[in-house]
Amino acid sequence: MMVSDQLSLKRLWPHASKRLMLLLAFDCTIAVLYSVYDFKFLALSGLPLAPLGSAITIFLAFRTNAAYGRWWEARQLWGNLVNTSRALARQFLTMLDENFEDVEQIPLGRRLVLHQIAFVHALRCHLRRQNPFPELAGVLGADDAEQLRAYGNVPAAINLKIGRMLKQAREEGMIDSFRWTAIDENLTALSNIQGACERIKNTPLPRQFDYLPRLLVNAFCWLVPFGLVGDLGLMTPVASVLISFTFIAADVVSREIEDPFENTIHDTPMTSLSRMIEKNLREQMELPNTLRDVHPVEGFVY
Amino acid sequence: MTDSNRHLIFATSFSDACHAAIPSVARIVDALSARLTILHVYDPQKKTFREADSMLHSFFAEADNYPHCERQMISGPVFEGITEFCRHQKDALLFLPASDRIGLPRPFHRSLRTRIIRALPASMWTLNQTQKIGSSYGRVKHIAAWLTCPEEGLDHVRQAAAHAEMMDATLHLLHVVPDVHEGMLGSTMFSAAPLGTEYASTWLNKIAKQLPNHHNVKIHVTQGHRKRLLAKLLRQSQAELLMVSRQSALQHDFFRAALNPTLEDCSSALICVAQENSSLWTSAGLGSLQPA
Repeated sequence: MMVSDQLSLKRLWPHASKRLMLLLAFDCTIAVLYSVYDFKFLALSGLPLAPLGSAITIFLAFRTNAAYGRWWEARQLWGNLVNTSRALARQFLTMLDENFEDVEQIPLGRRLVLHQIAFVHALRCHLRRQNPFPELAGVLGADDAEQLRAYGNVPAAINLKIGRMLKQAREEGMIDSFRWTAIDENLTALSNIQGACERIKNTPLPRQFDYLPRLLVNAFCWLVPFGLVGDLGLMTPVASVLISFTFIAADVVSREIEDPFENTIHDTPMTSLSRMIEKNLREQMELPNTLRDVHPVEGFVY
Repeated sequence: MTDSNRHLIFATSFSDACHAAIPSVARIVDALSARLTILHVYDPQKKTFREADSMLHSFFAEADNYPHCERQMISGPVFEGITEFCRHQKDALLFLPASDRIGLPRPFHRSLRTRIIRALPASMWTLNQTQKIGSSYGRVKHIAAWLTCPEEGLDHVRQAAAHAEMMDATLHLLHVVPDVHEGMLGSTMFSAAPLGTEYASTWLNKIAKQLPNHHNVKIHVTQGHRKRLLAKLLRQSQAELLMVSRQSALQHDFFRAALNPTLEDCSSALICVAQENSSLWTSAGLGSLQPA
Protein backbone atom coordinates (compact mmCIF):
# COMPACT_ATOMS: atom_id res chain seq x y z
CA MET A 1 0.00 0.00 0.00
CA MET A 2 1.38 3.37 -0.99
CA VAL A 3 1.68 5.84 1.85
CA SER A 4 3.84 8.56 0.29
CA ASP A 5 2.12 11.68 -0.99
CA GLN A 6 3.71 11.58 -4.40
CA LEU A 7 3.37 8.89 -7.02
CA SER A 8 6.65 8.57 -8.82
CA LEU A 9 6.20 8.35 -12.57
CA LYS A 10 8.98 5.78 -12.72
CA ARG A 11 6.55 3.34 -11.12
CA LEU A 12 3.92 3.90 -13.78
CA TRP A 13 6.27 4.16 -16.72
CA PRO A 14 7.33 0.48 -17.05
CA HIS A 15 3.67 -0.55 -17.35
CA ALA A 16 2.82 2.07 -19.95
CA SER A 17 6.12 2.54 -21.76
CA LYS A 18 5.62 0.08 -24.61
CA ARG A 19 2.20 1.37 -25.51
CA LEU A 20 3.28 5.00 -25.25
CA MET A 21 6.42 4.50 -27.32
CA LEU A 22 4.42 2.80 -30.06
CA LEU A 23 1.82 5.54 -29.97
CA LEU A 24 4.50 8.24 -30.10
CA ALA A 25 6.03 6.66 -33.19
CA PHE A 26 2.60 6.39 -34.78
CA ASP A 27 1.67 9.98 -33.88
CA CYS A 28 4.92 11.30 -35.31
CA THR A 29 4.28 9.39 -38.53
CA ILE A 30 0.79 10.85 -38.88
CA ALA A 31 2.01 14.36 -38.11
CA VAL A 32 4.81 14.15 -40.69
CA LEU A 33 2.58 12.62 -43.36
CA TYR A 34 -0.01 15.36 -42.85
CA SER A 35 2.26 18.37 -42.47
CA VAL A 36 5.22 17.54 -44.69
CA TYR A 37 3.76 15.26 -47.36
CA ASP A 38 0.31 16.90 -47.50
CA PHE A 39 -1.74 13.77 -46.78
CA LYS A 40 -4.70 15.95 -45.86
CA PHE A 41 -7.20 13.09 -45.91
CA LEU A 42 -5.68 11.86 -42.63
CA ALA A 43 -7.40 14.62 -40.67
CA LEU A 44 -10.65 13.47 -39.07
CA SER A 45 -13.34 15.55 -37.54
CA GLY A 46 -13.23 15.43 -33.74
CA LEU A 47 -16.91 14.40 -33.67
CA PRO A 48 -16.45 10.58 -33.64
CA LEU A 49 -13.80 10.80 -30.95
CA ALA A 50 -15.91 12.64 -28.41
CA PRO A 51 -18.63 9.94 -27.95
CA LEU A 52 -15.95 7.25 -27.97
CA GLY A 53 -14.08 9.10 -25.25
CA SER A 54 -17.30 9.38 -23.20
CA ALA A 55 -17.98 5.65 -23.54
CA ILE A 56 -14.46 4.82 -22.46
CA THR A 57 -14.79 7.12 -19.49
CA ILE A 58 -17.89 5.25 -18.33
CA PHE A 59 -16.14 1.88 -18.66
CA LEU A 60 -13.01 3.10 -16.90
CA ALA A 61 -15.01 4.71 -14.11
CA PHE A 62 -16.97 1.54 -13.50
CA ARG A 63 -13.86 -0.55 -13.56
CA THR A 64 -11.98 1.78 -11.22
CA ASN A 65 -14.91 1.80 -8.79
CA ALA A 66 -15.13 -1.98 -8.84
CA ALA A 67 -11.38 -2.34 -8.33
CA TYR A 68 -11.39 0.15 -5.46
CA GLY A 69 -14.36 -1.65 -3.92
CA ARG A 70 -12.38 -4.90 -3.83
CA TRP A 71 -9.33 -3.16 -2.41
CA TRP A 72 -11.34 -1.44 0.31
CA GLU A 73 -13.24 -4.59 1.20
CA ALA A 74 -9.92 -6.38 1.62
CA ARG A 75 -8.73 -3.66 3.97
CA GLN A 76 -11.97 -3.85 5.96
CA LEU A 77 -11.63 -7.61 6.30
CA TRP A 78 -8.16 -7.26 7.72
CA GLY A 79 -9.40 -4.54 10.04
CA ASN A 80 -12.02 -7.01 11.30
CA LEU A 81 -9.27 -9.57 11.72
CA VAL A 82 -7.40 -7.16 13.99
CA ASN A 83 -10.50 -6.62 16.13
CA THR A 84 -11.41 -10.30 16.26
CA SER A 85 -7.87 -11.31 17.15
CA ARG A 86 -7.75 -8.90 20.07
CA ALA A 87 -11.17 -10.03 21.28
CA LEU A 88 -10.20 -13.68 21.05
CA ALA A 89 -6.92 -13.13 22.88
CA ARG A 90 -8.80 -11.40 25.70
CA GLN A 91 -11.27 -14.28 25.88
CA PHE A 92 -8.54 -16.93 25.86
CA LEU A 93 -6.63 -15.18 28.64
CA THR A 94 -9.64 -14.37 30.86
CA MET A 95 -12.30 -16.98 30.26
CA LEU A 96 -10.41 -20.19 30.94
CA ASP A 97 -10.22 -21.60 34.46
CA GLU A 98 -6.66 -22.85 34.28
CA ASN A 99 -4.49 -24.71 36.75
CA PHE A 100 -1.26 -22.74 36.97
CA GLU A 101 0.49 -25.14 39.35
CA ASP A 102 2.27 -26.98 36.57
CA VAL A 103 4.97 -24.46 35.62
CA GLU A 104 6.49 -26.72 32.94
CA GLN A 105 3.45 -26.45 30.72
CA ILE A 106 2.62 -23.32 28.80
CA PRO A 107 -0.82 -22.26 30.04
CA LEU A 108 -3.61 -23.19 27.66
CA GLY A 109 -4.68 -19.58 27.29
CA ARG A 110 -1.26 -18.56 26.05
CA ARG A 111 -1.05 -21.52 23.70
CA LEU A 112 -4.39 -20.49 22.24
CA VAL A 113 -3.20 -16.92 21.76
CA LEU A 114 -0.05 -18.19 20.02
CA HIS A 115 -2.26 -20.22 17.73
CA GLN A 116 -4.26 -17.10 17.00
CA ILE A 117 -1.03 -15.31 16.04
CA ALA A 118 -0.18 -18.30 13.87
CA PHE A 119 -3.60 -18.10 12.21
CA VAL A 120 -2.98 -14.50 11.19
CA HIS A 121 0.42 -15.29 9.70
CA ALA A 122 -0.91 -18.41 8.00
CA LEU A 123 -3.79 -16.46 6.47
CA ARG A 124 -1.40 -13.86 5.13
CA CYS A 125 0.82 -16.53 3.61
CA HIS A 126 -2.21 -18.42 2.28
CA LEU A 127 -3.41 -15.35 0.42
CA ARG A 128 0.04 -14.53 -0.94
CA ARG A 129 0.71 -18.16 -1.88
CA GLN A 130 3.73 -18.11 0.41
CA ASN A 131 5.19 -20.94 2.45
CA PRO A 132 4.11 -20.34 6.07
CA PHE A 133 5.99 -23.16 7.77
CA PRO A 134 9.26 -21.41 8.65
CA GLU A 135 7.21 -18.72 10.35
CA LEU A 136 4.86 -21.16 12.04
CA ALA A 137 7.86 -23.10 13.35
CA GLY A 138 9.05 -19.91 15.02
CA VAL A 139 5.64 -19.10 16.56
CA LEU A 140 4.29 -22.54 17.49
CA GLY A 141 7.40 -24.69 17.58
CA ALA A 142 8.74 -27.17 15.07
CA ASP A 143 6.48 -30.06 16.12
CA ASP A 144 3.20 -28.18 15.84
CA ALA A 145 4.27 -26.64 12.53
CA GLU A 146 5.16 -30.07 11.20
CA GLN A 147 1.67 -31.38 12.02
CA LEU A 148 0.16 -28.64 9.91
CA ARG A 149 2.00 -29.74 6.76
CA ALA A 150 -0.64 -32.40 6.22
CA TYR A 151 -3.22 -29.72 5.50
CA GLY A 152 -3.72 -27.87 2.27
CA ASN A 153 -5.55 -24.99 3.94
CA VAL A 154 -3.30 -24.13 6.86
CA PRO A 155 -5.30 -21.25 8.41
CA ALA A 156 -8.43 -23.41 8.45
CA ALA A 157 -6.39 -26.18 10.07
CA ILE A 158 -5.19 -23.81 12.79
CA ASN A 159 -8.76 -22.66 13.37
CA LEU A 160 -9.81 -26.29 13.72
CA LYS A 161 -6.97 -26.96 16.13
CA ILE A 162 -8.04 -24.02 18.29
CA GLY A 163 -11.54 -25.45 18.34
CA ARG A 164 -10.24 -28.86 19.40
CA MET A 165 -8.14 -27.35 22.17
CA LEU A 166 -11.21 -25.54 23.45
CA LYS A 167 -13.23 -28.71 23.27
CA GLN A 168 -10.64 -30.45 25.40
CA ALA A 169 -10.67 -27.53 27.82
CA ARG A 170 -14.45 -27.85 28.09
CA GLU A 171 -14.16 -31.56 28.80
CA GLU A 172 -11.64 -30.80 31.54
CA GLY A 173 -14.01 -28.29 33.06
CA MET A 174 -11.94 -25.22 32.25
CA ILE A 175 -14.73 -23.54 30.35
CA ASP A 176 -18.51 -23.70 30.46
CA SER A 177 -20.97 -23.71 27.56
CA PHE A 178 -21.76 -20.02 27.72
CA ARG A 179 -18.14 -18.97 27.47
CA TRP A 180 -17.49 -21.57 24.81
CA THR A 181 -20.33 -20.17 22.73
CA ALA A 182 -18.96 -16.63 23.07
CA ILE A 183 -15.52 -17.77 21.95
CA ASP A 184 -16.96 -19.88 19.15
CA GLU A 185 -18.65 -16.81 17.68
CA ASN A 186 -15.26 -15.21 17.24
CA LEU A 187 -13.81 -18.39 15.77
CA THR A 188 -16.65 -18.36 13.26
CA ALA A 189 -15.84 -14.73 12.51
CA LEU A 190 -12.28 -15.81 11.69
CA SER A 191 -13.62 -18.39 9.24
CA ASN A 192 -15.86 -15.77 7.66
CA ILE A 193 -12.95 -13.38 7.25
CA GLN A 194 -10.85 -16.09 5.68
CA GLY A 195 -13.69 -17.04 3.34
CA ALA A 196 -14.24 -13.46 2.24
CA CYS A 197 -10.52 -12.97 1.58
CA GLU A 198 -10.43 -16.15 -0.45
CA ARG A 199 -13.45 -14.95 -2.41
CA ILE A 200 -11.61 -11.77 -3.39
CA LYS A 201 -8.44 -13.70 -4.13
CA ASN A 202 -10.04 -16.40 -6.26
CA THR A 203 -12.71 -14.40 -8.08
CA PRO A 204 -11.27 -11.80 -10.42
CA LEU A 205 -13.26 -8.98 -11.92
CA PRO A 206 -15.35 -10.27 -14.84
CA ARG A 207 -13.03 -10.50 -17.80
CA GLN A 208 -15.33 -8.38 -19.93
CA PHE A 209 -14.59 -5.42 -17.65
CA ASP A 210 -10.90 -6.05 -18.06
CA TYR A 211 -10.80 -6.71 -21.79
CA LEU A 212 -13.25 -4.15 -23.15
CA PRO A 213 -11.79 -1.05 -21.44
CA ARG A 214 -8.31 -1.99 -22.61
CA LEU A 215 -9.53 -2.57 -26.15
CA LEU A 216 -11.44 0.71 -26.25
CA VAL A 217 -8.54 2.67 -24.72
CA ASN A 218 -6.18 1.27 -27.34
CA ALA A 219 -8.60 2.09 -30.14
CA PHE A 220 -9.10 5.61 -28.83
CA CYS A 221 -5.37 6.23 -28.48
CA TRP A 222 -4.77 5.17 -32.09
CA LEU A 223 -7.56 7.47 -33.34
CA VAL A 224 -6.62 10.57 -31.33
CA PRO A 225 -3.82 11.75 -33.69
CA PHE A 226 -6.24 11.71 -36.65
CA GLY A 227 -8.55 14.03 -34.74
CA LEU A 228 -5.81 16.42 -33.66
CA VAL A 229 -3.52 16.57 -36.68
CA GLY A 230 -5.80 18.97 -38.61
CA ASP A 231 -5.43 21.64 -35.89
CA LEU A 232 -2.05 20.93 -34.37
CA GLY A 233 0.05 19.73 -37.27
CA LEU A 234 3.53 18.80 -36.12
CA MET A 235 2.60 19.38 -32.47
CA THR A 236 0.15 16.47 -32.69
CA PRO A 237 2.43 13.90 -31.00
CA VAL A 238 2.76 16.04 -27.87
CA ALA A 239 -0.98 16.46 -27.29
CA SER A 240 -1.82 12.96 -28.47
CA VAL A 241 0.65 11.26 -26.15
CA LEU A 242 -0.56 13.33 -23.20
CA ILE A 243 -4.18 12.39 -23.85
CA SER A 244 -3.25 8.75 -24.41
CA PHE A 245 -1.21 8.70 -21.21
CA THR A 246 -4.24 9.88 -19.24
CA PHE A 247 -6.39 7.03 -20.42
CA ILE A 248 -3.63 4.44 -20.20
CA ALA A 249 -2.77 5.55 -16.66
CA ALA A 250 -6.42 5.23 -15.61
CA ASP A 251 -6.49 1.72 -17.08
CA VAL A 252 -3.20 0.69 -15.44
CA VAL A 253 -4.04 2.10 -12.01
CA SER A 254 -7.37 0.31 -11.73
CA ARG A 255 -5.75 -2.90 -12.92
CA GLU A 256 -3.11 -2.63 -10.19
CA ILE A 257 -5.50 -2.33 -7.25
CA GLU A 258 -8.14 -4.85 -8.29
CA ASP A 259 -6.19 -7.76 -6.74
CA PRO A 260 -5.22 -6.74 -3.19
CA PHE A 261 -3.53 -10.05 -2.27
CA GLU A 262 -0.97 -10.46 -5.04
CA ASN A 263 2.14 -9.50 -3.08
CA THR A 264 2.63 -6.25 -4.94
CA ILE A 265 3.19 -2.71 -3.75
CA HIS A 266 -0.57 -2.09 -4.07
CA ASP A 267 -1.56 -4.89 -1.71
CA THR A 268 -3.44 -4.60 1.50
CA PRO A 269 -0.61 -4.08 4.03
CA MET A 270 -0.94 -7.54 5.50
CA THR A 271 2.63 -7.80 6.78
CA SER A 272 2.26 -4.60 8.75
CA LEU A 273 -1.14 -5.62 10.11
CA SER A 274 0.12 -9.11 11.02
CA ARG A 275 3.00 -7.57 12.93
CA MET A 276 0.64 -5.21 14.74
CA ILE A 277 -1.65 -8.08 15.73
CA GLU A 278 1.27 -10.15 16.96
CA LYS A 279 2.69 -7.29 19.00
CA ASN A 280 -0.71 -6.53 20.55
CA LEU A 281 -1.36 -10.16 21.44
CA ARG A 282 2.11 -10.61 22.90
CA GLU A 283 1.53 -7.51 25.02
CA GLN A 284 -1.73 -9.00 26.26
CA MET A 285 0.21 -12.09 27.27
CA GLU A 286 2.71 -9.79 29.04
CA LEU A 287 5.58 -11.18 27.03
CA PRO A 288 8.63 -8.99 26.37
CA ASN A 289 8.34 -6.96 23.19
CA THR A 290 11.13 -8.01 20.85
CA LEU A 291 9.43 -7.18 17.57
CA ARG A 292 9.80 -3.88 15.78
CA ASP A 293 7.04 -2.00 14.01
CA VAL A 294 6.87 -2.28 10.26
CA HIS A 295 7.62 1.09 8.72
CA PRO A 296 7.17 2.21 5.11
CA VAL A 297 9.92 1.13 2.75
CA GLU A 298 10.50 3.49 -0.17
CA GLY A 299 7.02 4.94 0.46
CA PHE A 300 5.21 1.60 0.58
CA VAL A 301 3.90 -0.48 3.47
CA TYR A 302 3.63 -4.20 2.90
CA MET B 1 14.83 -28.43 12.54
CA THR B 2 17.24 -26.16 10.74
CA ASP B 3 20.50 -27.56 9.45
CA SER B 4 22.82 -24.63 9.98
CA ASN B 5 25.15 -25.93 7.26
CA ARG B 6 22.80 -24.51 4.66
CA HIS B 7 22.91 -20.79 4.55
CA LEU B 8 20.84 -18.56 2.27
CA ILE B 9 21.86 -14.94 1.85
CA PHE B 10 19.09 -12.76 0.47
CA ALA B 11 20.68 -9.57 -0.86
CA THR B 12 18.04 -6.88 -1.13
CA SER B 13 17.72 -3.34 -2.36
CA PHE B 14 14.06 -3.15 -1.23
CA SER B 15 12.96 -3.02 -4.85
CA ASP B 16 9.62 -4.34 -6.09
CA ALA B 17 11.44 -7.38 -7.47
CA CYS B 18 12.88 -8.12 -4.03
CA HIS B 19 9.42 -7.97 -2.47
CA ALA B 20 8.01 -10.17 -5.21
CA ALA B 21 10.79 -12.69 -4.53
CA ILE B 22 9.90 -13.14 -0.85
CA PRO B 23 7.58 -16.16 -1.41
CA SER B 24 10.35 -17.84 -3.38
CA VAL B 25 12.83 -17.24 -0.58
CA ALA B 26 10.38 -18.62 1.98
CA ARG B 27 9.96 -21.75 -0.09
CA ILE B 28 13.70 -22.26 -0.52
CA VAL B 29 14.32 -21.72 3.21
CA ASP B 30 11.72 -24.34 4.02
CA ALA B 31 12.86 -26.80 1.32
CA LEU B 32 16.53 -26.61 2.34
CA SER B 33 15.92 -26.02 6.06
CA ALA B 34 18.36 -23.19 5.68
CA ARG B 35 19.26 -20.32 7.92
CA LEU B 36 18.54 -16.97 6.36
CA THR B 37 20.56 -13.77 6.27
CA ILE B 38 18.92 -10.69 4.82
CA LEU B 39 21.70 -8.45 3.55
CA HIS B 40 21.45 -4.82 2.54
CA VAL B 41 24.27 -2.63 1.33
CA TYR B 42 23.44 1.05 1.61
CA ASP B 43 25.07 4.20 0.33
CA PRO B 44 25.85 6.49 3.31
CA GLN B 45 25.75 9.49 0.95
CA LYS B 46 22.08 8.87 0.18
CA LYS B 47 20.75 7.30 3.34
CA THR B 48 21.51 7.52 7.02
CA PHE B 49 22.22 4.43 9.04
CA ARG B 50 18.98 4.88 10.94
CA GLU B 51 16.87 5.08 7.78
CA ALA B 52 18.55 2.05 6.26
CA ASP B 53 18.20 0.10 9.50
CA SER B 54 14.50 0.90 9.75
CA MET B 55 13.94 -0.17 6.15
CA LEU B 56 15.95 -3.35 6.61
CA HIS B 57 13.89 -4.42 9.61
CA SER B 58 10.63 -3.54 7.85
CA PHE B 59 11.54 -5.50 4.74
CA PHE B 60 10.44 -9.15 4.86
CA ALA B 61 9.35 -8.50 8.43
CA GLU B 62 7.88 -11.98 8.83
CA ALA B 63 11.39 -13.44 8.69
CA ASP B 64 11.86 -12.29 12.29
CA ASN B 65 9.77 -15.32 13.24
CA TYR B 66 11.97 -17.73 11.30
CA PRO B 67 13.97 -20.00 13.58
CA HIS B 68 17.31 -18.81 12.21
CA CYS B 69 17.24 -15.42 10.60
CA GLU B 70 19.56 -12.46 10.90
CA ARG B 71 19.79 -9.10 9.21
CA GLN B 72 23.06 -7.60 8.12
CA MET B 73 23.72 -4.09 6.90
CA ILE B 74 26.87 -2.89 5.21
CA SER B 75 27.70 0.57 3.97
CA GLY B 76 29.53 1.25 0.75
CA PRO B 77 29.36 0.19 -2.91
CA VAL B 78 26.86 -2.56 -3.49
CA PHE B 79 29.05 -4.95 -5.48
CA GLU B 80 31.98 -4.75 -3.09
CA GLY B 81 29.72 -5.07 -0.07
CA ILE B 82 27.97 -8.20 -1.30
CA THR B 83 31.11 -9.94 -2.53
CA GLU B 84 33.07 -9.14 0.61
CA PHE B 85 30.28 -10.46 2.83
CA CYS B 86 29.78 -13.62 0.79
CA ARG B 87 33.49 -14.41 0.70
CA HIS B 88 33.38 -14.88 4.45
CA GLN B 89 30.39 -17.20 4.30
CA LYS B 90 31.48 -20.71 3.42
CA ASP B 91 29.13 -22.63 1.14
CA ALA B 92 26.45 -19.97 1.29
CA LEU B 93 23.77 -19.66 -1.37
CA LEU B 94 23.27 -16.09 -2.55
CA PHE B 95 19.78 -15.09 -3.66
CA LEU B 96 19.73 -11.99 -5.85
CA PRO B 97 16.59 -11.06 -7.81
CA ALA B 98 16.74 -9.15 -11.07
CA SER B 99 16.61 -5.36 -10.97
CA ASP B 100 13.27 -3.66 -11.62
CA ARG B 101 12.39 -2.81 -15.18
CA ILE B 102 12.50 0.88 -15.90
CA GLY B 103 10.75 0.74 -19.28
CA LEU B 104 13.70 2.26 -21.13
CA PRO B 105 16.72 0.70 -22.81
CA ARG B 106 19.85 0.54 -20.68
CA PRO B 107 22.78 0.34 -23.08
CA PHE B 108 25.43 1.06 -20.43
CA HIS B 109 23.88 -1.00 -17.68
CA ARG B 110 26.26 -3.41 -16.01
CA SER B 111 24.32 -6.25 -14.50
CA LEU B 112 25.11 -6.72 -10.84
CA ARG B 113 24.20 -10.38 -11.08
CA THR B 114 26.70 -10.92 -13.90
CA ARG B 115 29.47 -9.17 -12.00
CA ILE B 116 28.81 -11.22 -8.92
CA ILE B 117 28.71 -14.49 -10.84
CA ARG B 118 32.11 -13.66 -12.27
CA ALA B 119 33.58 -12.54 -8.98
CA LEU B 120 32.20 -15.02 -6.48
CA PRO B 121 32.69 -18.78 -6.37
CA ALA B 122 29.50 -19.15 -4.34
CA SER B 123 26.27 -20.44 -5.83
CA MET B 124 23.86 -17.72 -6.79
CA TRP B 125 20.12 -18.02 -7.27
CA THR B 126 18.33 -15.43 -9.24
CA LEU B 127 14.77 -14.77 -10.30
CA ASN B 128 13.72 -12.87 -13.38
CA GLN B 129 10.63 -10.72 -13.54
CA THR B 130 8.43 -13.45 -14.95
CA GLN B 131 9.69 -16.27 -12.83
CA LYS B 132 8.53 -17.49 -9.50
CA ILE B 133 8.74 -20.75 -7.68
CA GLY B 134 6.80 -19.66 -4.63
CA SER B 135 3.34 -20.03 -6.07
CA SER B 136 2.57 -22.89 -3.73
CA TYR B 137 3.98 -24.12 -0.49
CA GLY B 138 4.14 -27.72 -1.51
CA ARG B 139 7.53 -29.33 -1.79
CA VAL B 140 9.66 -28.84 -4.90
CA LYS B 141 9.01 -31.87 -7.08
CA HIS B 142 11.10 -31.29 -10.19
CA ILE B 143 14.62 -29.96 -10.56
CA ALA B 144 16.34 -29.55 -13.91
CA ALA B 145 20.00 -29.30 -14.85
CA TRP B 146 20.94 -27.82 -18.20
CA LEU B 147 23.95 -29.35 -19.90
CA THR B 148 25.45 -27.60 -22.91
CA CYS B 149 28.77 -29.36 -23.46
CA PRO B 150 31.20 -31.59 -21.56
CA GLU B 151 33.68 -28.72 -21.18
CA GLU B 152 31.46 -26.91 -18.70
CA GLY B 153 31.96 -29.66 -16.16
CA LEU B 154 29.46 -31.49 -14.01
CA ASP B 155 29.51 -29.50 -10.80
CA HIS B 156 26.04 -28.16 -11.46
CA VAL B 157 24.70 -31.65 -12.15
CA ARG B 158 26.27 -32.81 -8.94
CA GLN B 159 24.59 -30.03 -7.01
CA ALA B 160 21.28 -30.55 -8.80
CA ALA B 161 21.39 -34.23 -7.85
CA ALA B 162 22.11 -33.31 -4.24
CA HIS B 163 19.21 -30.86 -4.22
CA ALA B 164 16.93 -33.47 -5.74
CA GLU B 165 17.98 -36.03 -3.18
CA MET B 166 17.48 -33.56 -0.35
CA MET B 167 14.05 -32.49 -1.56
CA ASP B 168 12.97 -35.94 -2.77
CA ALA B 169 12.44 -34.47 -6.23
CA THR B 170 12.84 -35.80 -9.72
CA LEU B 171 15.97 -34.67 -11.52
CA HIS B 172 15.69 -33.75 -15.18
CA LEU B 173 18.75 -33.46 -17.41
CA LEU B 174 18.15 -31.10 -20.31
CA HIS B 175 20.15 -30.73 -23.50
CA VAL B 176 19.40 -28.94 -26.77
CA VAL B 177 21.38 -30.07 -29.79
CA PRO B 178 21.97 -27.17 -32.21
CA ASP B 179 20.23 -27.10 -35.57
CA VAL B 180 21.99 -28.78 -38.46
CA HIS B 181 23.86 -26.19 -40.55
CA GLU B 182 26.88 -25.96 -42.80
CA GLY B 183 29.31 -24.79 -40.13
CA MET B 184 28.35 -27.16 -37.36
CA LEU B 185 31.31 -29.47 -37.92
CA GLY B 186 33.60 -26.55 -37.17
CA SER B 187 32.32 -26.47 -33.62
CA THR B 188 33.89 -29.89 -33.02
CA MET B 189 37.29 -28.18 -32.99
CA PHE B 190 36.29 -26.34 -29.82
CA SER B 191 33.84 -28.61 -28.11
CA ALA B 192 33.05 -32.27 -27.63
CA ALA B 193 29.32 -31.52 -27.48
CA PRO B 194 27.21 -34.15 -29.24
CA LEU B 195 25.94 -33.24 -32.69
CA GLY B 196 22.94 -35.55 -32.75
CA THR B 197 20.09 -36.35 -30.41
CA GLU B 198 21.03 -40.04 -30.11
CA TYR B 199 24.57 -39.25 -29.03
CA ALA B 200 23.26 -36.60 -26.68
CA SER B 201 20.86 -39.08 -25.09
CA THR B 202 23.67 -41.59 -24.67
CA TRP B 203 25.84 -38.95 -23.05
CA LEU B 204 23.13 -37.90 -20.62
CA ASN B 205 22.27 -41.49 -19.80
CA LYS B 206 25.90 -42.16 -18.88
CA ILE B 207 25.81 -39.18 -16.55
CA ALA B 208 22.47 -40.21 -15.10
CA LYS B 209 23.67 -43.74 -14.29
CA GLN B 210 26.47 -42.32 -12.17
CA LEU B 211 24.05 -40.36 -10.03
CA PRO B 212 22.55 -41.66 -6.80
CA ASN B 213 18.82 -42.31 -7.22
CA HIS B 214 19.41 -42.69 -10.95
CA HIS B 215 15.97 -44.26 -11.26
CA ASN B 216 14.55 -40.85 -10.46
CA VAL B 217 16.41 -39.08 -13.28
CA LYS B 218 14.75 -38.20 -16.55
CA ILE B 219 16.47 -37.22 -19.77
CA HIS B 220 15.15 -34.55 -22.14
CA VAL B 221 16.93 -34.03 -25.45
CA THR B 222 15.75 -32.10 -28.44
CA GLN B 223 17.25 -30.41 -31.46
CA GLY B 224 16.69 -26.92 -32.73
CA HIS B 225 16.78 -23.33 -31.57
CA ARG B 226 18.27 -23.36 -28.12
CA LYS B 227 16.41 -20.42 -26.58
CA ARG B 228 12.98 -21.53 -27.65
CA LEU B 229 13.46 -25.22 -26.98
CA LEU B 230 15.05 -24.89 -23.57
CA ALA B 231 11.93 -23.08 -22.37
CA LYS B 232 9.84 -25.84 -23.93
CA LEU B 233 11.88 -28.57 -22.22
CA LEU B 234 11.43 -26.79 -18.90
CA ARG B 235 7.68 -26.70 -19.36
CA GLN B 236 7.65 -30.37 -20.28
CA SER B 237 9.70 -31.34 -17.26
CA GLN B 238 7.65 -29.03 -14.98
CA ALA B 239 10.93 -28.10 -13.36
CA GLU B 240 10.75 -25.44 -10.68
CA LEU B 241 14.49 -25.04 -10.26
CA LEU B 242 17.05 -24.94 -13.06
CA MET B 243 20.68 -25.59 -12.33
CA VAL B 244 23.17 -24.16 -14.83
CA SER B 245 26.92 -23.99 -14.94
CA ARG B 246 28.75 -20.70 -14.56
CA GLN B 247 29.95 -21.05 -18.12
CA SER B 248 26.50 -21.31 -19.63
CA ALA B 249 24.96 -18.69 -17.32
CA LEU B 250 27.01 -15.90 -18.86
CA GLN B 251 27.30 -14.69 -22.42
CA HIS B 252 30.28 -12.64 -23.46
CA ASP B 253 30.31 -10.12 -26.27
CA PHE B 254 32.79 -7.44 -27.30
CA PHE B 255 31.92 -4.98 -24.56
CA ARG B 256 30.70 -6.86 -21.58
CA ALA B 257 29.33 -10.07 -20.15
CA ALA B 258 25.62 -10.47 -19.55
CA LEU B 259 23.27 -13.10 -18.30
CA ASN B 260 22.63 -15.64 -21.03
CA PRO B 261 19.50 -14.46 -22.88
CA THR B 262 18.55 -18.11 -23.38
CA LEU B 263 17.80 -18.23 -19.68
CA GLU B 264 15.81 -14.99 -19.60
CA ASP B 265 12.77 -16.66 -21.11
CA CYS B 266 12.77 -19.64 -18.81
CA SER B 267 9.85 -20.12 -16.49
CA SER B 268 11.86 -21.61 -13.63
CA ALA B 269 14.12 -19.91 -11.15
CA LEU B 270 17.74 -19.89 -12.20
CA ILE B 271 20.60 -21.23 -10.21
CA CYS B 272 24.17 -20.49 -11.03
CA VAL B 273 26.45 -23.13 -9.67
CA ALA B 274 29.89 -22.64 -8.22
CA GLN B 275 32.76 -24.20 -10.11
CA GLU B 276 34.64 -25.24 -7.01
CA ASN B 277 33.47 -28.32 -5.17
CA SER B 278 31.37 -27.49 -2.20
CA SER B 279 31.55 -29.57 0.98
CA LEU B 280 27.76 -29.63 1.06
CA TRP B 281 27.28 -31.44 -2.22
CA THR B 282 29.28 -34.63 -1.86
CA SER B 283 26.46 -37.12 -2.31
CA ALA B 284 26.86 -37.35 -6.10
CA GLY B 285 30.29 -38.57 -7.16
CA LEU B 286 30.77 -37.89 -10.80
CA GLY B 287 33.81 -38.01 -12.99
CA SER B 288 34.22 -36.18 -16.22
CA LEU B 289 32.10 -37.93 -18.80
CA GLN B 290 32.56 -37.35 -22.49
CA PRO B 291 29.87 -38.29 -24.96
CA ALA B 292 30.58 -41.25 -27.22
